[in-house]
Amino acid sequence: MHAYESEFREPLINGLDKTYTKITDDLVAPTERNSTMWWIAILLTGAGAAFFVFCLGWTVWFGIGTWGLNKTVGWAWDITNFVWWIGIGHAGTLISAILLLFRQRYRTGINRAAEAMTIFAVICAGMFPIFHMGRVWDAGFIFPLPNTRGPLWVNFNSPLLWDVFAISTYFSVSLLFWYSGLMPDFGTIRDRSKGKLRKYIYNILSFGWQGSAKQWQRFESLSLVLAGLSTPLVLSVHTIVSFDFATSVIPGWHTTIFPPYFVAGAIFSGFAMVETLMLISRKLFSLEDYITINHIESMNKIIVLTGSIVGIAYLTELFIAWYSGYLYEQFAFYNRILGKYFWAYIMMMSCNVISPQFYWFKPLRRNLYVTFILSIFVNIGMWFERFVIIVTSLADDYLPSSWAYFSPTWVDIGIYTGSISVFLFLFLLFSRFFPSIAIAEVKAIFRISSEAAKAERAKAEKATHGGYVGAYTVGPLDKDSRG
Amino acid sequence: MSEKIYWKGIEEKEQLEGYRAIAEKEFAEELPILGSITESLTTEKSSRKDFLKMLGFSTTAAVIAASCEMPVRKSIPYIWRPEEIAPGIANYYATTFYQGGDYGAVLVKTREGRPIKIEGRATKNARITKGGTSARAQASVLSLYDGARFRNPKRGKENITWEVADKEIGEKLKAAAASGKVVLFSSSVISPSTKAVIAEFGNSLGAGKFEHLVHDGISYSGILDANEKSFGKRLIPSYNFGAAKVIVGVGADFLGTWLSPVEFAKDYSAKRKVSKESSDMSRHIQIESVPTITGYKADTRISVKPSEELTALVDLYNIVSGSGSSKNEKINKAGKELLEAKGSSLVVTGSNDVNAQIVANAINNALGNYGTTITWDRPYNTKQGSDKAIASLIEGLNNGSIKGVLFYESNPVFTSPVKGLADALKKAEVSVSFANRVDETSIACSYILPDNHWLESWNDAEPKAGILNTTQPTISKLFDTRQVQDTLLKWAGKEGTYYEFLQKYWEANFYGKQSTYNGFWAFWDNAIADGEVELPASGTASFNGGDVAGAVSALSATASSLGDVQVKLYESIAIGDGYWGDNPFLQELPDPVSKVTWGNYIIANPSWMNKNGYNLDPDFKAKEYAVAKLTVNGASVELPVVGVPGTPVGVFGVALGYGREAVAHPELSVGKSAFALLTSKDGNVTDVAKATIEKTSKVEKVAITQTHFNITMKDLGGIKTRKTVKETTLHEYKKDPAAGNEDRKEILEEMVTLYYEHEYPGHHWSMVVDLNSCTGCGACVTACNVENNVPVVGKDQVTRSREMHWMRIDRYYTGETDNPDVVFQPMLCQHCDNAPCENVCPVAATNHSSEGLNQMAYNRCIGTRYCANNCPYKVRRFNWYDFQQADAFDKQYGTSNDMNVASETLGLHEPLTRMVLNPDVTVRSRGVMEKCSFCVQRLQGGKLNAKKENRILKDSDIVVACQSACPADAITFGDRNNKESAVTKLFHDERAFGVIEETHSMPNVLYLTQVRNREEEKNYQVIDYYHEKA
Repeated sequence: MHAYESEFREPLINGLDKTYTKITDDLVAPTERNSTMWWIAILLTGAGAAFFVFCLGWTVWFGIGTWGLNKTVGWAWDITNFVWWIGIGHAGTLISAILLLFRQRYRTGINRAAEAMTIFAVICAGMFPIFHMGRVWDAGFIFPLPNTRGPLWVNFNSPLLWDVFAISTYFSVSLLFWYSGLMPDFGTIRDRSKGKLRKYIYNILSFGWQGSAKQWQRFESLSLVLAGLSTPLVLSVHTIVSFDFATSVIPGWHTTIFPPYFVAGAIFSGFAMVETLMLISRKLFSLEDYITINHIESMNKIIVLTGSIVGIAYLTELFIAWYSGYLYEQFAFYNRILGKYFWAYIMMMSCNVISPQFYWFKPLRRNLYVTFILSIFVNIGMWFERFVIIVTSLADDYLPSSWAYFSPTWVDIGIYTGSISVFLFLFLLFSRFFPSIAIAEVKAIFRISSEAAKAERAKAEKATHGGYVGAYTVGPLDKDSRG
Repeated sequence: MSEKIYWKGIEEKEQLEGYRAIAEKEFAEELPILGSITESLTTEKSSRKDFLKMLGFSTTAAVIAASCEMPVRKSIPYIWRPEEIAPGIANYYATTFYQGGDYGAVLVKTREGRPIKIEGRATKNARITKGGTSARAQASVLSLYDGARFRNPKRGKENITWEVADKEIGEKLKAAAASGKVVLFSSSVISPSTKAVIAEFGNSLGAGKFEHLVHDGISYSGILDANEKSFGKRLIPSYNFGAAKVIVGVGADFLGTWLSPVEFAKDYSAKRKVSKESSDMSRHIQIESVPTITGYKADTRISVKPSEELTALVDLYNIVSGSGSSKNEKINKAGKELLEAKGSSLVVTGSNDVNAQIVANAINNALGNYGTTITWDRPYNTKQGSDKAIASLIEGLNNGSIKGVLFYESNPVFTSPVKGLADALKKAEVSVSFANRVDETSIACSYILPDNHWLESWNDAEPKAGILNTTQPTISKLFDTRQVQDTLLKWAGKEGTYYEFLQKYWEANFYGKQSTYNGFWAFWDNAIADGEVELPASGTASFNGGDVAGAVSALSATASSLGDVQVKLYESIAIGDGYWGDNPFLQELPDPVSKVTWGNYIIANPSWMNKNGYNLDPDFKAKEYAVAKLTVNGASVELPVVGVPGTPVGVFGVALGYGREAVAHPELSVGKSAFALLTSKDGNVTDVAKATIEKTSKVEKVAITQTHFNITMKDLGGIKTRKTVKETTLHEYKKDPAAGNEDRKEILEEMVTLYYEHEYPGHHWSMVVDLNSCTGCGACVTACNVENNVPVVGKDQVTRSREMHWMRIDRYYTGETDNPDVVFQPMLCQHCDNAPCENVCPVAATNHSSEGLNQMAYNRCIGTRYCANNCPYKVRRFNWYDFQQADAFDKQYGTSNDMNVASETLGLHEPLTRMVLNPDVTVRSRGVMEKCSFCVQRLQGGKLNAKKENRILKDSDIVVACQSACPADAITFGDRNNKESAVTKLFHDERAFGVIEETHSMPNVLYLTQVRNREEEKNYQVIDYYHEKA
């Protein structure tokens, strides 16, 4: 990774006072100090998470009838939330795997938190397909396990079954990737630990990381292998989720454009959620030097790209509906825009297509307030996108006699808001006990992309009158380096 | 001494090689199931690993089996097994349904001694209803197991014994007879033996001391009085809708509720079956105000105000008698058509106005219809009531001339348009209700002596003169009840039971009139087995001219007095006069016209509603409808207003029979009673009146099952309509049998697939529904509910669009908003050969059978609802709650209003009520998907019977529940692999089409186009009336 980087390129680590020690101090700090804000936040989100559990219990105890579903609309908020969370869970793998392969250095500042977010989002997402089942106690039937029920097997034709494989694979690989990346950092924390118990726990968490050259070499290989494994997953998971709809016969669902459209939407919403969380964490944990405006801008560029892809997909759908000459398809899209759920369509279009267009302008791209608000907008918009696809298509399909209207009950709302609480609760625990920025990886780019290194190089350059100063120059930065 | 060796054959003695190989094996042949396991064990290769595997498996299996606590099920065997009861095999008994004024010749299916289903009798033994049944007959079996039935005689609220009741009432009746009269107040009694019992009872009280007053909740007093004037007989003649070439109905819902709807629907639809061989269908013109299914089925529906119904009769009379014409061209045309079909036409009116009926008689007489389409040889006995009965009862009670009242099959406190009966009853010496379930009259009486349910009773019936029916018990009495006839006989001091009385009565009165059977017992046994005996017809009547001119002028005067805003009170198909108000199946049956369940409402013209600020499109807001106050003559009701296309402006319809307050479960008390709005004219109640309407600020939820949204997208233009239903005119059909269905050829040609298609080596079950025959009455829906244990979910759940009906009747309008054409389309699982639901189920719980059934494995279902989402027909139903109390868990609700599952609160979870469940059909638990199974239990039963008889399955062996209940014979079911079956032929009919076949779902249910017998072409576009906002 050590290579020369242009002086003109904006640094990824700010602060002229940065040294390897300082980085360690800065990044481990959140795990070493108590914060009242954190306690308030964890209690609030904990209460929300408890309500989530309560609502799920209510559903299981009384029945799916406690939701607002009906004979026509068999899926609504449940699957909307599922797809929304899965989409959010896409940024982590994209950042850790694809950006790793593309050697985008800015990933190091955000990959750990993004991966954690992925894990938690997938946990939230996974709740919905499980608890939307009428008989959740028989959920084990969806696994292709040998059984005593004769030749009874799962139905490999069903996209829901593909979901089971896609999501469980995605979850395992993401978890592995995330955790293996954490191991050296746990070692760092352990080494700094004062308490015996703390040392003991972080030692176990680090799997006894010693930081030997052999371990680093194996660590690097594992990272590459996992990145290679994860890369297709970024594309496959949401593709398979989109098959839930694309393989059906319902107008508005039965669309071949869905896989790329869903993947783009997923990355779109994933980056938005990373931004929402990062903007809060960098403030809360004073990580402004590591998550810089440069990082934010890079992510905003991806958001404007994927947002525009999604926008084109929406327009393509409309065009194809018209072009198909197929009454039911035409009606489905007419109904989306002008039907009883028109407001959901307006929300989707304005949040997903219009709002990211602000990012064409550099000042807005680099404005933290704009970024924060738009990241929330994008997440609202992406939720509505799934709602529009699922509910409006189902509510008015082929036979007008069975058209119906869905309105949520308090249980629907409780489960959705509760899942956000669960997500934030887990994320807060993560940022309190785990290093939320990959210490080792940040250090790896320190010599190349940090403001301090660049300043030092500039100084050295001046001293040598324009002579080459490489990355391997040993200077004052290397003092107290503990790796 | 060496032991003796015995050998059993030479092969053993010689130890031949083949013998050894066999002898060493435990089983002569390899066990097929355990092949792989036994192989590894018996061969030397079996390793320690294999041993451990086996050990692990068997230990685990044993542990699991041993640790599962199995519930102890107590079953008590028969000590003496009844000869005819074999567990698992149904018995059918012929009996007769006559409840709440509705007659049906039925078979009762019993399983292990409990009646669980009503079927129509074979046509030869059902000369009137011809195998058809009504929704009410289908649902009546549930009332047998109603936990709210009275379980013993009562004095007020106190339980007493029959001995005490007999003693006390006997004394009081004597006292009453000493100081005044005793009255038996009933609805029409069609049992000749019961009438004889009543006469015996009356005689025992002494001459002039007893009176039998007859009152029907839905009055036919007008037609009876008119016939008395015109023919000298207070009876209703037989109408033969099958013989009529031109039918004009004036406000008579003869396919839904009027007089004998099952019989009329049978005859009417038989005459209107269209095929290439016979396309000689009758022509039906309906002149009506509030839309009915009869009007919606008509070839031409003339939408008029109730007052104009009366003037239409006058106009028709003038036209057919050649003395004038109508201002309405359509009526002139109808009159012309009637004249062209002289002698084979039929005019009926449902009006209770004596003059209207006299004019109708005069029209039919002028057309020469008496003796052809209307005959006096077998007049109806089913309607005998007089509207004067209630008035004379109240008057008698108030002036002290009536001292004792007995109420039999009658609930006048509820159905009376005049109030005051309940108070007047307090003046009686003794008042007794024979009701077996709580009703408004019984709570006003001093004694309640519960009658047996009709399925527990012996009786006879003579619905039409000379057509004798028998009623036999199909279960022994569930409670300490006693049949009314036995009670009356006892009070009359007669020895013996009603059963013996019945036999003696038949021997004395009917045996002699027949010549088929020699010996009374042969006659009696056959009568009971067949359920029906036909005696020779007798009786004639001739039109005496009467005062037709007087009737005409009186009718015109009545019409002009009705004003601009008029109300029409009608009988609901499901609830009748309120008699069925406590039957959950019927409360949940959507009204065929409005698709509303659980309650009544004001029917109004949709454009009028738009203009006056009523919300027409309330599905946006959880089905909340604006409430209006409708006032007639000082009496008023407040009900939600529901728009029904075809209702003229200024006309409002309200169903009678709702608003029952004295019902066992509060959920059943829905709607408002409209009986108070009935007005009286010349002693007869009249169902039309001058009214005023005003909007209130209230809104009310209406449990409507079919919604109304824009489906044409006129705004976008260029978009074809959905061809969910197809129709044509007879004229077009004669030119081209595929008229209206032209596009199907193209659809079939485009149906190509690259994929594997299912094979059907044995049977391939299919259904064809003739849209031309279907009247939308809902008998099939109820029959399906009873047959397949479909749960009742209650008003709240229906409001949330969660009704569970496996079969529903979709209703589509075409043409103008104010007078549309309507098509009813029974919609059920289409059992697609390429079913979209099947491939999406992750656990293969819904799959394809080798007989073409799309089947559900409930035990396998985990309830993802993906199948329901992917069903283009939306016929799959999900168990949102534990509607049938079938869950493995204990009951979970009843703690919160949110969890108010009606089936529980209505008592449908009581062990008693659950006796109605069909043991052949799985009761579904919470969280599983269900849907029409094509009555797979009947398919299996039919196949088993054929197998037992060692023959090939015949087309007639299997009749599915909806098909058997249908009074219009709209449903044909059978095996498409049998080239000779009726269904195969219909599948190749030019009229056959599948719904949304372009999705390549390949449905196994096809529909036949609706054919209307008329010349003019209407715009056959499925309209959306709600979006034509004024």
